[in-house]
Amino acid sequence: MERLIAAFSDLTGTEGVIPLSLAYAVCIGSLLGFITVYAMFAIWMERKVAAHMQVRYGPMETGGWHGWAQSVADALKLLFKEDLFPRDGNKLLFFIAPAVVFCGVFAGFIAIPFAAGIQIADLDLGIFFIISIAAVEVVGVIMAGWASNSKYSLFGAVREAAQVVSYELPSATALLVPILVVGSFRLGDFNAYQAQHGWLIFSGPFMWIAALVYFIASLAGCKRAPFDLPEAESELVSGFHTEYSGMRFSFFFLEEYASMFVASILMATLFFGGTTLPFNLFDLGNWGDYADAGRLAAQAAAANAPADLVAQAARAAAAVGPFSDLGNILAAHLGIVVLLLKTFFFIFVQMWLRWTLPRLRVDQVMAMGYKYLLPWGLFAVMGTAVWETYAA
Amino acid sequence: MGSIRDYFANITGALTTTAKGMGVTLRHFTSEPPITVMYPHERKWVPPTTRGKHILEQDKCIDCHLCAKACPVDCIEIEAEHYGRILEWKQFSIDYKKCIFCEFCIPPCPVDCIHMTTEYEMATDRNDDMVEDLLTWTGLRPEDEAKITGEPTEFQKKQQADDGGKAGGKDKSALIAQIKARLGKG
Amino acid sequence: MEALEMYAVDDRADVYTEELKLNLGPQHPSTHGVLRVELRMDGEIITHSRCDIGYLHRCAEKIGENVTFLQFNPYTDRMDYLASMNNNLAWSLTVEKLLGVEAPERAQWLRMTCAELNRIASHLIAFGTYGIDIGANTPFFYAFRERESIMGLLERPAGARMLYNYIQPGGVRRDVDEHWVDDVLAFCDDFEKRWLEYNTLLSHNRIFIARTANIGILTKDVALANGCTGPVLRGSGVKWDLRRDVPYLKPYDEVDFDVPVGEGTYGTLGDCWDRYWVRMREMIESIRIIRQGCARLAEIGGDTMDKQMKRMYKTPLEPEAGEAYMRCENPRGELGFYVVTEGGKSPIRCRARAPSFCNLSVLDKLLPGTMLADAVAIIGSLDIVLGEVDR
Repeated sequence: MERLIAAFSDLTGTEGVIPLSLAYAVCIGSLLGFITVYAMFAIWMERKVAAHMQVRYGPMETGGWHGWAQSVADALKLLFKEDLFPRDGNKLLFFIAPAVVFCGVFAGFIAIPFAAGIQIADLDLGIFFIISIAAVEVVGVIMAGWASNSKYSLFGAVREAAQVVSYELPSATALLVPILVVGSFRLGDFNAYQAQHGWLIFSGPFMWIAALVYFIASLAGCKRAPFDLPEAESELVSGFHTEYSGMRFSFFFLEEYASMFVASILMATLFFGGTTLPFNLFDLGNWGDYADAGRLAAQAAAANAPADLVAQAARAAAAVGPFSDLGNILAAHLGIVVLLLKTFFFIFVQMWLRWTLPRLRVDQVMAMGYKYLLPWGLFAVMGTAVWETYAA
Repeated sequence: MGSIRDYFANITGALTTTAKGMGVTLRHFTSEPPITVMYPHERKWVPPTTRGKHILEQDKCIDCHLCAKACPVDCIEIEAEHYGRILEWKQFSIDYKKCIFCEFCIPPCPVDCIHMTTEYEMATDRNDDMVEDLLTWTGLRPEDEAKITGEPTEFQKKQQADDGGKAGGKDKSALIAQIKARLGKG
Repeated sequence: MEALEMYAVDDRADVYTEELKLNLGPQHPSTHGVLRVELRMDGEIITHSRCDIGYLHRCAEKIGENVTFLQFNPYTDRMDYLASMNNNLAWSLTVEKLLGVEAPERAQWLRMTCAELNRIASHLIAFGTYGIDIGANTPFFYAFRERESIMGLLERPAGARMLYNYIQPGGVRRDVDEHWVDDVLAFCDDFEKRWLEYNTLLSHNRIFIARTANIGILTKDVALANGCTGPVLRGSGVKWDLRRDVPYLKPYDEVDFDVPVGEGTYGTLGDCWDRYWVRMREMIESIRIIRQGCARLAEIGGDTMDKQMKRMYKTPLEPEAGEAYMRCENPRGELGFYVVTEGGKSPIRCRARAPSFCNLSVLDKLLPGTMLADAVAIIGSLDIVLGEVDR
């Protein structure tokens, strides 16, 4: 973000508001575009995964090859649908609820490092920020449930509130474990750490428990099966978005898939090496930094990178000059691909679980959160603390 | 409230059964081909016994109304004027909005003139389209008219001159022969 | 009822909660049709429930009094539309009892084989939709895959895929083709493998057990007092099956099969899981019956329709004045037809004892004290077909 502002400042020759707003526009625009395209792809993927697990084809017609344009067609249809509003509902809340829900997840994307340097804001408390901003979503869901003037929506909203608030405890506890090891809340540091020391999932026996607890808790946070109680279609018709249609409904849909993405990319970044390949093949995690002339020296010393590569990177960085971000992007694209592949693997696992498992009951979800996940999460935290002190 | 053993049994049970279930779905995902048929592009084989739309051999029909009487839902409407053994056809229609495809109209026919085809696609967006007229011609055919009056009509003469005396209307005899062949096989 | 007292509303407190009235249905994804259940909810707990039926009432019994005996046969298809063969069978047997005729031997074996195939198809729907009720979508599609094979098999002699109208008074509509028996046996082999897969995927899944075991416990006494039959009764541990106890078709006397009953495997006897498991095991028993039926069908030949009865297509049947009641073991329980005739072409009274209707009567007793999600599980475990409840 700062570098983007600087780049725009150089480009326009001004300081202050103009480059700042331009940078904001670029960031928000690219994120929105990314989320939309990703969500369309993920919805298509979900349909295909579900279909092939259920010995079906899924969408095959729209767009030709395996119905790739089905999501685009659906999005267009939703855009052009009439904006319906339930009589006797609370109009204001009904209209802003989808926006609030979407904002929570959207803000979470700010702190996500797709690769070193490709990140809107490398926050000091990145993980903390993502966890806390995602909780805003609950407010929107309660708004939607209340404003819909439907009993099913209300049930869904209350379930969602109870579930998401409860499952933030185990998921945050589980995230403490990698934080304990790395010693930082900054997400960028995890990539750097894992580039040097290998994947965190292999660092100690308690990391597996933490990863499992986090994954299960993140399923509940994303309202995915077997924790899809807020929208349990066999009980609550469609839960809190029963009364929504068209554009506003699509926001809830976007939110679900976006939060799946956030949960999966956190899983990949925190436990499964982020942008690095297993055993740090090709040293992918550091590529982005090689091109960054400013941090090059410290990084090269830390990572023991080959001298000729350092020199090459320095030359490249010098050559692109003010557009060093561009150099970063080019250098780091392989890291992004690796990270996205891992993310999509976890998204696939989420889908896989959804099409395998039955749904839990509301009290069982609570019992699972408080009796199983939270104690095991705490166990992992304490175990890792001991392990890090004595064994590592 | 379960014991400590139940607690751990629950965890292992949940993990193992979930893993087994995921194995089943993964096997289907990777190695079972889809069984659905891409309908408008390909169609499933239907047995020759399939009870589909009706077809009438009009020249055989004697207007006995047995099929209409056998129908549980009264969906067959028949109307014809008798000139001795010659019939002046007005209506032989089946209302497919009512028809339940029970096949009870087929066996009573004394001259074996009404059959069911394997045709099952009859979706339409207009109510009127659901009332199917099985007649290939209405009124008197020119040759029938000739039999009644004893001499060829103007129309018949003209038609004979035109196309060698072929009867008007759609020719369904080929389809009937095909159905009979299939029924014989089944 | 203890659960009820635990969650009773205390309106003397300063802050008290009100009961919420929730309409489950008639347009609801998991009421298996157009059942409406009026629930009074205290949070997620149901305190009171009332069933409202009749949304699919089509006057089937009255129609039976206005059409001929044969013409009512396709109407029985549409009562329990998932088990048309069994419905046809019950009606045909009733008419045969009135007329005092009996179907030829081959027809009897065909009837039994087709009825058992249809029982599997019906139980597959129960299994698949139960999965959906609990939240697992995939078993539904696997169940439909096998049901599709069964429909393909039954379509060949019957000519229709769902509303067969195949078993008719006096026998069956037509004989099967020469490869049919082999294809049925091939299906049986395939089905047993699939059945094991269903159990891996759903029956023994920990979450599924947690959702169904100890839920909706129907005791033996309540089940008997409410006239429950079929898997609902057997799930409560009562070994009562008309096929075994009152063999209404001769072949049932000759074939060898077990009557599975609930055992309270994962919880209390008579819970949802027991009812579900009885259905699952009945499928395998049906496969056993079908295998024996196919073996006999390969041996015996002969007519498939009573020669005297063939004229019924042209001239309506006119049994002598009298009455008859005949009951059959349908997938959902005992389907009985009671017919009174005064000698005309159509009966003066035609009454169906529908198993779903009687099984549904226990719903209001099972629901109070359970949660909303359990309500769905309980309705699913009763496996009702609203076409039959409302007729």
